[in-house]
Amino acid sequence: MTHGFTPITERHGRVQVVVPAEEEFVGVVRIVAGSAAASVGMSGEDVADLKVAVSEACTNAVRHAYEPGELHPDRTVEVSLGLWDGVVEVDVCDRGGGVQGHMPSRSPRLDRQEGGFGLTLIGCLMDSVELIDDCESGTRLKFLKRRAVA
Amino acid sequence: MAVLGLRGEVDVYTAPKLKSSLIDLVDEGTFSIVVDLSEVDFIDSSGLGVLVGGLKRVKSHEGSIVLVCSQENILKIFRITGLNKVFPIYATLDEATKEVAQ
Repeated sequence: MTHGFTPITERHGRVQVVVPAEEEFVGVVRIVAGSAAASVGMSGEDVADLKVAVSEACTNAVRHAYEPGELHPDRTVEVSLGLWDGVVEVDVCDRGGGVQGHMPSRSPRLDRQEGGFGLTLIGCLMDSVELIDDCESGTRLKFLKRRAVA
Repeated sequence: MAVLGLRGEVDVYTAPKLKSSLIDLVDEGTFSIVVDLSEVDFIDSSGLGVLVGGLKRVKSHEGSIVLVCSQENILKIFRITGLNKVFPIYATLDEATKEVAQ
């Protein structure tokens, strides 16, 4: 799914957060994304939707950023939030082996993923999603949410 | 029957704890489980995955997992994924335990 969008109003700015690619930091990104979305006038429901999408994207980054049997203490997840009035664009990038990399990666500490609803949820909750799988620089997921028009 | 009351957030970090609670229940012979999500602020596919895994485990013993949830933002997640058709979901713990007891 790809999408091009036009920034419709004056840009508020960009918030960037970089966390270790570890499970306990996904919640930190959710809080930042939720605050940022609320600050540009998203409704409670939109904010909740965005937090789920961000959580899914960061979870994928955490799960995929490890080679089996190895620890990479410097693996990070980089999240960039583009903010406009009523619009949030999220860009999640991990420095790992890629979703379809030569080594499908899992953290040895995480069990095999059960379910696999992550991308489904992002696709349904967000207005657009783009998956850019570049094995050299990691996996990048971009998605956008617009404030629902009443 | 057992009631598992969760609180807070169920994500990639906290879902393993739910998973081991479900495994413990099955190991000790409890296959009819009510998972109470009333106090849960957030759940994503990590939590959903653990619930699905738990359901497979209890079903192999002819058991069941039912959920308690009345929060629209969480019900929405179950609807989008179709899991509202997989798990019976009740608005209150009372309703859930009554149904399971029958």
